[in-house]
Amino acid sequence: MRRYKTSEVWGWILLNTVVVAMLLLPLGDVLLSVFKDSEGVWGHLAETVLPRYVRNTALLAIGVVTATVLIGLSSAWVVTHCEFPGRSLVQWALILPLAIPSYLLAYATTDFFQYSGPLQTILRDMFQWERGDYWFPTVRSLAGAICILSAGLYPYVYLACRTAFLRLDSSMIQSSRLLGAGAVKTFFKVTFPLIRPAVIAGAMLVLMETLAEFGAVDYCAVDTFATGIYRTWLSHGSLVGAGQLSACLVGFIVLMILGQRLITRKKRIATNNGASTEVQRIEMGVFGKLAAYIIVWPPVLIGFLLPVWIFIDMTLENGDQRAFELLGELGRNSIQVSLVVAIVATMLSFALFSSLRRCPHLFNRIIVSGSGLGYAIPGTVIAIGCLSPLFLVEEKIADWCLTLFGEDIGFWLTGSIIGLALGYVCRFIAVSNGMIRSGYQRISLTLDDASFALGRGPVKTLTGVHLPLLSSSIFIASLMVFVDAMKELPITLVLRPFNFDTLSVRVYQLASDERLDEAAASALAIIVVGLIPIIVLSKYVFSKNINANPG
Amino acid sequence: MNEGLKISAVSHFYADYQSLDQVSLQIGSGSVHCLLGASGSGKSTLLRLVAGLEIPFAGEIKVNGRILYDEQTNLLPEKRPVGLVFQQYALFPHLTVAANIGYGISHLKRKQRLELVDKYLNLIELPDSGDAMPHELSGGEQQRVALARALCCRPQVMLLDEPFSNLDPRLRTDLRKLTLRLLKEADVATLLVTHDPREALAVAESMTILEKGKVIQSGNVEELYFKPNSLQAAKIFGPVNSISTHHKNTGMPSLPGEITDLSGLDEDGTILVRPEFIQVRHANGDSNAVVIEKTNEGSTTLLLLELESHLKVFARIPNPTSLEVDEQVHASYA
Repeated sequence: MRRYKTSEVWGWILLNTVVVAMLLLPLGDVLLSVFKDSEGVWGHLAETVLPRYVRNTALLAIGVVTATVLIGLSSAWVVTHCEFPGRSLVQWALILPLAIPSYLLAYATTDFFQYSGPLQTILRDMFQWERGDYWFPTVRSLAGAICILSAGLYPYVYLACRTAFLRLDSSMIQSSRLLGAGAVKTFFKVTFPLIRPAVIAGAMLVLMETLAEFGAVDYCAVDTFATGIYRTWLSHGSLVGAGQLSACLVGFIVLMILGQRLITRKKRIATNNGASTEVQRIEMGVFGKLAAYIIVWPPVLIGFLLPVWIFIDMTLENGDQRAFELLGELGRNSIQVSLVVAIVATMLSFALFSSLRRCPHLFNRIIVSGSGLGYAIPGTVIAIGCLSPLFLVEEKIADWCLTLFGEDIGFWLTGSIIGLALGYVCRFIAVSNGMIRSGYQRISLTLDDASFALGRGPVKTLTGVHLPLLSSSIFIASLMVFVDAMKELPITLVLRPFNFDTLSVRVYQLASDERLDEAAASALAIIVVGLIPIIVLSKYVFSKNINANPG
Repeated sequence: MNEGLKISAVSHFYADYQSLDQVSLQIGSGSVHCLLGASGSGKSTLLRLVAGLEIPFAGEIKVNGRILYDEQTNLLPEKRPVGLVFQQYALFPHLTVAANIGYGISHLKRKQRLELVDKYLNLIELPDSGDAMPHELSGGEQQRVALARALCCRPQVMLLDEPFSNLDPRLRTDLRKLTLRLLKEADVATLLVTHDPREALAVAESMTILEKGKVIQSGNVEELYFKPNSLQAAKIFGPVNSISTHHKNTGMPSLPGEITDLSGLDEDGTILVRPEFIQVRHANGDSNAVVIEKTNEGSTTLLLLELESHLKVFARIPNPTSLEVDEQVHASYA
């Protein structure tokens, strides 16, 4: 343990505590609302809609998690262990649905499968059917929402499993084979138990995203907690009631995280340290290849190719002058606010983790890792939690300004993009934290020692050693945050100032008004931006060196 | 004695690079054969071919007369009567020690299986570790568990891939003895891969030296050490003096004494002399060489001498020694 002056240590801890407390303010506000009086709204909610929220949220979560685990695990296994034409393409294509926010997927899929959509129209033309002659599943239903979310979210499980399969010590599988176990027994007794922590981690991400999902669920008219919170705020106008609903959701999420910790405790993934031997892939016969295609291509088709094709088609057919003007105007707003958020979040992450490097005190570690909690909290909850602290600060400072300078600055916080940006930072700082943390982990502590021994102080070590070595991490961190902010919907919907629309909000509004055609160009723009981190990500996942640097 | 493992003219390619070229060797049941060579010489590849983890390009692999691989047949790894102990042991981290050992015999009834696992736990001298997890054991204990796990399936051939290389030297000797005893008792043909020639000398009855996928020499241990068929083969066991007998200027180095065994003399008149066959003592006015380098090897010291003819030779002398660098000495054939 390196020794530092006590005053410096506590200085850092104090400073970090203030910063992190501000980031967690929305969460605290939501939890505190439990003790506030909702003026009857809670009682009303509990009597009327609460049982439905609980039931729908639970069914949605169970359905989506089950489906994504099945799709993600099987497709990862197939691309790792089987050889078939197009394997190297599809192993990359399988992560593409991550580029499409679930609400866009919902709009596109609904459009394709609904009564007036292309599929049913073709079927009717082909078989001379009329309305009522045939049964077709409704997309805007709980089952439809489960399918849409599964198609959009399975890549989380796929990525986790794929990485785990690649990192799995291949001598484990070979040992099992040599001890007389066939492929099936080896999978269930060795491979699956060893990658289970990764499967669970992937499933947890899916669960979090499902609980937080607003746009797609709202469009499918399924009442869950996330949509209920928004509606309680919007139509009941009750911030306290919305806060109390949020607290329920947060409580559930905390339970899930604790559960995961309990299950995966002490379990470690056997990683391939040292000589990596490429897994011998099974050569497939005709039926084997067919089976492989049936497993790997439909997720890509429904999760990526179909929606992209639909939006391109709509843009080409209806892309008038107005649509592109709209795109330019909204794009500017989106880029502006996302850029601010990316810079602020990355700078904060860098500051937090360089202070942690300087003073790896236990308190400091706990505080810094607490800063990323917001990512586990649904956007709707963050947004609701931001509102009252923002209003409070805004009012106080505006009052002071008025008395001190005689100037009325009005709604300087909620009326500008500052409030919106703060909400984004609370949620997305976890993304930049992750990148900066792993960047710092790659810099050996001996480099710091060497720098100090050569007479450089902490500041010069930071600017001369850490900053250059972290430059790519910093860039990727800001890129990831930028893209996440571009796609974000619920926080934007609640916290945006009047007359300030972003791409995602406008697409949401147009889709709600059944005017999806006009939003197609904007939707495509969001998808294109979303593709950027996928390309960056794929470098990490599919690079050959993956075994050389675990973690 | 059973025929054991028989490998005939096996070749193997990685993409366009030939990793094994017409390799043949035979190991009788109950005996240990060492595969010696530098890293990249193809020794691990040969092991993987026998285990069925790679497929040869040509050749034949048989165990006790049964074909594992030839042009028509290719048994899957799980169908081969072959056990393999990996260099990193590859114990299943999610299973207890007992479950690891019993993994390959799950077709037996529970009672029989537990009895057999107990028997092997006793054999490897870890009777109370059955419920432990692999990471709770030391390196040497893990190695023994890996061996027991492989033996439990009653293989006819055992492949050991540098099994002792991760252990500290003190432990290594004990473990080697235990391992060899168990393998002998099980009457398996053992193929041990190592890059440490002393280990090969200590454990094997016969050995094969591989270089760049080709067999340089194969035979019993004494033969390889004392009658290497090439400088390459001789150098595996350390520095060696290659001395030309009829080169005009240098000639046979004018050392007193005689080389008694000239059977190693090859056509162009070169003979290989191991350093321990050259004696060195303090010069008492009859110096014929000077010490230019001195390396302490523990029980012996390796000297590099420069003779009056400027020829350099290695000599190995027992420790302790009072010879110093730059000292004039007297060297002679032993």
